[in-house]
Amino acid sequence: MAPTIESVNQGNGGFEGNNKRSDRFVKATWKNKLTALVVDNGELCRVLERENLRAYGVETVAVETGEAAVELIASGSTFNLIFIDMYLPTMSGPEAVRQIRAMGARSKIIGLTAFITEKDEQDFFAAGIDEFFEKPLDPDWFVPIIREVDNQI
Amino acid sequence: MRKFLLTVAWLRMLPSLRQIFSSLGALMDIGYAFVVLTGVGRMDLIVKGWQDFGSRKPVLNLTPSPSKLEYIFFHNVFSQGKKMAETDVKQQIKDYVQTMHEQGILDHNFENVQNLQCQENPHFVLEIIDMFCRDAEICIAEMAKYVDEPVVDYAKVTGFIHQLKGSSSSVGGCRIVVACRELRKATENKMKEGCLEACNKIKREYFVVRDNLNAIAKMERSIHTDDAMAGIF
Repeated sequence: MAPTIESVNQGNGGFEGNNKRSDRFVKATWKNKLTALVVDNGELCRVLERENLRAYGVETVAVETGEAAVELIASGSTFNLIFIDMYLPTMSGPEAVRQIRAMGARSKIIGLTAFITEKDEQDFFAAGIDEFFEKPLDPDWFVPIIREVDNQI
Repeated sequence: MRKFLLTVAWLRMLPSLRQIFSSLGALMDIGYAFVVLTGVGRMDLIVKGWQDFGSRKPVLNLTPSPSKLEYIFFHNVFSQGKKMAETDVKQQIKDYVQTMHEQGILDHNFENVQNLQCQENPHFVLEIIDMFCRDAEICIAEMAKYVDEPVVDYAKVTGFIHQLKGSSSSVGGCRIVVACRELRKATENKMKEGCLEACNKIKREYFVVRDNLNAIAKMERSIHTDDAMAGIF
């Protein structure tokens, strides 16, 4: 059964990043409780993407396939951010994004790939992503995205 | 060994003196240090117990059984020694990773992995290294298999290149990333010879990264076992 993710709360005091690692990470303080979904069939990439986001205070769920992601959204789970790999087995990243958008999801969707090519970029943006980056996740680019989402809520 | 224990007893006294009015444990340390220094305590038997715990967790091998004072002293000195050993190993890892940077074998992404290690997951770096090596070897074997076939399935090869490049870049294996780009280019141009050459390069670069990551993993493991303590004695 797909997990239920709590909807975003408008907190008063702010939600702090995981300050158990604060001696190395910039202590992230968000106005809202942020949630993210990571979709990557590579175990190592999936684990690192999830842990990177959690380190910055984003409650993150990680799944292996596009189908699992679509099922999660279809079950009613909502996420502020979705990080999705281009190349997924069976259901590709662009196809999963198309289905997620067709369900009315308004999450900020960030496409990921090992190699950015012009064709992949066009396909992925046409499917409905908002941003497209080469792996791995780097705080230099994903923290501003999280901040932007936090400010928009 | 006796001189070492005496030295440690003196060193332990210094912080204890500062805590003398706030810590019963510190008072016990001072009391016990006095006992040890004046030869009143069971010095011979404590030495035996010390030697015993070098290989396993500390066991105070005393007959009759250790008193509370003896146990506390023993435990405190052991903890101090363990912390010193751990600090040494962490510095060794830091220096080693720096060397890898300078040689262009690892980039800053490996430090990002290290930064994700925390108290809740103290073995995170070890897990990532294991995961990377396992995944990389599968990818490399599959790529080599497909490239070796009379008719190369370039689409399949591309899938594995993506996977290997993604995981390599995530752990900072920048040279493997470069080799993956070369293989990607060869598959785009559908050049079998180019693919074979690039595959071999990926293997070579992977072995270099793997060996260095395994060296780091060995050092990480030593922090989590009593091996670090055995090095002191």
